Amino acid sequence: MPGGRRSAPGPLPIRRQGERIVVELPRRVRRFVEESAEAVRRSVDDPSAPAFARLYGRLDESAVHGDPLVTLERQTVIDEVCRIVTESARKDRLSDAEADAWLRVLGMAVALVAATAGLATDDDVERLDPGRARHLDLLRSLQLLVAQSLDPTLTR
Amino acid sequence: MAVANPDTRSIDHVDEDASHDVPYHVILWNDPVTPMQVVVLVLKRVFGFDGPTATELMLVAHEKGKVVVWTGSRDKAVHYSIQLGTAGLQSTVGRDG
Repeated sequence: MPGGRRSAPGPLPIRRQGERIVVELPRRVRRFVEESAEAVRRSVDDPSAPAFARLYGRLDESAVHGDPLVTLERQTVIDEVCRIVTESARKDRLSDAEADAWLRVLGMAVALVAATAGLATDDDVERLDPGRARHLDLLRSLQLLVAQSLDPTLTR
Repeated sequence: MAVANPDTRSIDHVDEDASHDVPYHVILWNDPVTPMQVVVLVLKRVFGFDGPTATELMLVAHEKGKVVVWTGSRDKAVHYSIQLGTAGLQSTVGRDG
């Protein structure tokens, strides 16, 4: 689990302001967030994808694996958070529930990258090709910004 | 007073007892990509841990590769594991930490 980014001078592009969370992101970054939600949503439907086992693999050695209720609960959560992110990606203000959905989708998007690229160690991350490294850096930066807006006590 | 479907009630009772008798662990696994602060926040939000507890659990997972973050009934353990998974964290449910 890597350490976080250092704080930059000036107001953060995602920050708490009273009861709401202010989002000041360029259009291309908002599109990136939407695409991340779409990628997470698609991953549920493709058991042959490398990320499927990482995200949706067996939870234990009992009958939980393949339990339709477990599958349904997981799918319901994923569908819901992806829907919320898609609907709120262009907003300038987020509720805590919307920010929580962002945090979940960004987390699953990070896990998707890790599974697709086979990242198991810190060295694997260091060896990422530049394109994937930039993708992962942006996801993790957004993750941290959303996390800090949800909980200002988190260290930066 | 009518007792509806006593067989079903009996089966439910056995299942419920079994789930309480055998504790299950939720095991959080380290991963090299999720920022530490995000792991701490997810643990706080899913389990209601305070900051120091969540931070300590995250650090143990980081250093040892895994850590038991919760123990209790199987149903709740599975629910918690799904909550962690849908935040991008890898976890399993089992009887051995």
